[in-house]
Amino acid sequence: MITALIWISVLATDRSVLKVTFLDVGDGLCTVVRTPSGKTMVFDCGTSSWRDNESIGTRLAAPYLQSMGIDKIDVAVLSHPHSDHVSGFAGLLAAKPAKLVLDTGIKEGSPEYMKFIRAIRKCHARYRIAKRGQVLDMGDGVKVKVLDPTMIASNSDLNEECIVLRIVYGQSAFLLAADAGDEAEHEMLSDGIKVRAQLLQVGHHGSRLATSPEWIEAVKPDIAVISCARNSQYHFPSRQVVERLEASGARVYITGKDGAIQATTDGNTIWMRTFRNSW
Amino acid sequence: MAAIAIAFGAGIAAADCASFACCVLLAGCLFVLALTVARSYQRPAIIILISAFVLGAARYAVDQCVPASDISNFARSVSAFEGRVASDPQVEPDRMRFVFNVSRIKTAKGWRSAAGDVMLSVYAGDDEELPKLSYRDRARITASPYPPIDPTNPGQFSYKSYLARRGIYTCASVRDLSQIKVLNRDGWRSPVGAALMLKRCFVSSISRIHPRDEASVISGVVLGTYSYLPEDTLSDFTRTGTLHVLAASGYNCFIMLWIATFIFKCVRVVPKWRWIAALLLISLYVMMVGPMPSLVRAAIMSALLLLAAPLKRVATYKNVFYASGIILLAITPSNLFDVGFQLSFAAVYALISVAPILEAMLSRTALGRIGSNRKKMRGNRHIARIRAGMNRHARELVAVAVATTAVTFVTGPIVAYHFNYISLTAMPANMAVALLVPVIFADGLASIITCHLPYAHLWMGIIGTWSTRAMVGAVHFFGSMSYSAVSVQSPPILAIAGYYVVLYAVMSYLRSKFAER
Repeated sequence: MITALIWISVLATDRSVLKVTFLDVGDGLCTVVRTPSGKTMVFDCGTSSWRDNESIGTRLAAPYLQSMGIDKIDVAVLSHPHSDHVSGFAGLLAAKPAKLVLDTGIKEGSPEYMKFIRAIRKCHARYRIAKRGQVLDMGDGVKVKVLDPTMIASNSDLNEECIVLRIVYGQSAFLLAADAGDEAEHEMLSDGIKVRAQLLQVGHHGSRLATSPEWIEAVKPDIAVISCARNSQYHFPSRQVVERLEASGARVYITGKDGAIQATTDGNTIWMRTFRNSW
Repeated sequence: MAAIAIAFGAGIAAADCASFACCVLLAGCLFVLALTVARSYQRPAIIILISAFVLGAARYAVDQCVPASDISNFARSVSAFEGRVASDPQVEPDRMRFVFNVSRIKTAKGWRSAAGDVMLSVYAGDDEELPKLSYRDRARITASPYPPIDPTNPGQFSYKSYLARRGIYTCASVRDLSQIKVLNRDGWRSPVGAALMLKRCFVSSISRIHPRDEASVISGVVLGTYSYLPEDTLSDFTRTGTLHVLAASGYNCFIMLWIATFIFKCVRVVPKWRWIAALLLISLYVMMVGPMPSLVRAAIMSALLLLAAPLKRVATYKNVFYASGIILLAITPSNLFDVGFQLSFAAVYALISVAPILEAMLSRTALGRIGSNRKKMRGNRHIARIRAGMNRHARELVAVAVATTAVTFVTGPIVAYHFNYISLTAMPANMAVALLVPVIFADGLASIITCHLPYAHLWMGIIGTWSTRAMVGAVHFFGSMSYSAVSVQSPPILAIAGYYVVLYAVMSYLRSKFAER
């Protein structure tokens, strides 16, 4: 009878939740999305704070996916080919192959990006270039919408051409802005794109060149997540941006201070969990 | 003995979740309940179990107390410390790491005596060579220690918890070699120092007569270490559930004792001296390899079994097994949370409790009759001999298959909890490597002598190299299959407990069923 009760309690665990985890990678970004149907999306995997930046995929992201029992990544998204977003992707894809890869299509000759491209070929993933308006159906009502970029640009600022995603599940929406700056924000707002979200991954690691007052006003986030190191070499996040977010009523989480940040939603409510000193 | 061991372990687990006072309170409640509900003849047994529970909790509480003189209490104010190297340094191309046992520390008020261990990492620059430090060498380190950092990401290995289980609460790093001053080198004079020198002799002897990759695997099999292995090979061993081959455990002790007994018989050692020689041999092996829970468990079990005859006691595997658990936990209670300890005990439990039941079940099927043809062989004497040999090997393979199945059943949840995978190729992979391991182990052990002999080193090199290639090839074959291992999420502790309750119930039912027949 005791055994039966134990098994019932284990099996009765509610699995209809969407989990978005912002890993503490220092100055960089690595976001893992786990949908209720068990699909996995990884949004960027890079850092510029580690002694060996490329090992972030094998030493941090892959063990996290392994701990969740994930063998394959359903969608891997590279927001833009800057080192702090791509450096660990090749290692991660070698350990956990992806089925579909979304990229900006901007040809960047950096060694990390070339390794990423080789890793895509090696794992036989489908390669797609992201464009505004694309929608990925992740099952169980989870939709991932591409808000930016509008077209392939090769010579402009890579940050302004990065992929911006809006993940919608029930009444909850998460906006992943990667390194999008003021220019990209202005473009999305002027085009009338729906950007409202309960959780905002603050653009460009909380830099003062992103997260304009108009952007905050349009997104109206309840929760803001900034991915940057504890003692950031670029002095992220900008105090101005943090004050602006707090003034808007958003709760600000910083990976450097709070460790990894996990947002869980059932489509209505969002629960937050941080991982520093939680062991 | 089983119930006492479980009660002792439960006490340790309870003390980890709650304070010692809470454990005593819980024990008191259970005691009162037992006095009220239990029948009079049951009460002594219940009192013994409750006492074991309290003793386990008390031992863990004592173990967790950090002494006032521990260096971790002064970490912020220490600028230098003196002591001895307390472990065999792990050397990598650009750094080395070892445990440093502190005897004195330097603070703003000058030198004072202190205690405790520091995990010291020494980094060498591009043109620098790492210092040659050995076990028990006395040195002065000019560095400020710091507490190990907590992991900040889910699924990340907690180095802090790992060190805490070894009683280490402080780390230090040295990036300038002038920060290390060796005061004296007398490591080889201690028994452990001498054993570690012997270990280095083994590694260099194995490397002399085998190619580099094969030498790393043979060193792993003989000395139970993964540090010499290439990453891909290690991954294949992990995915196929054959990593135990490279872990120092009871299997190594068994093969070593088997070889030793054979040699003792050949040189006609008097039986009453054989067990003393065997005990010394096991002690030397433990000192050489290090106090890993799996090896210490095997050493304690071997020692108890060897001592039973001279002490005129009857030793059963089960009692010796549970007694070794109690002894090991009494020495280091935090071992209960060590994955090596858990896997080692689960595997041995599977071999002594589950495997015999599976064998009994199998003996009633056609598979169980493989190799048991006892009809008189007719015809050519050589053919009969070959057939007998084939039957023997078939029986051995069936026994390996049964043992692997039993071990997979019992260790499955622990592997899933700690490593997040379930190996689907464990059985064929283990069957493939099981017969090669004794050959490789014996070859590795003998290399320390044969590497100096003119022709023997060639032959031993060839045998060891080809056996290792066959083993690595088999492991790679199974490990590179798409579904050699399936990733799973860590099951909750309650689910694991439920699994073992169900397994125990099923095994008890089967045991009673086969006992009746």
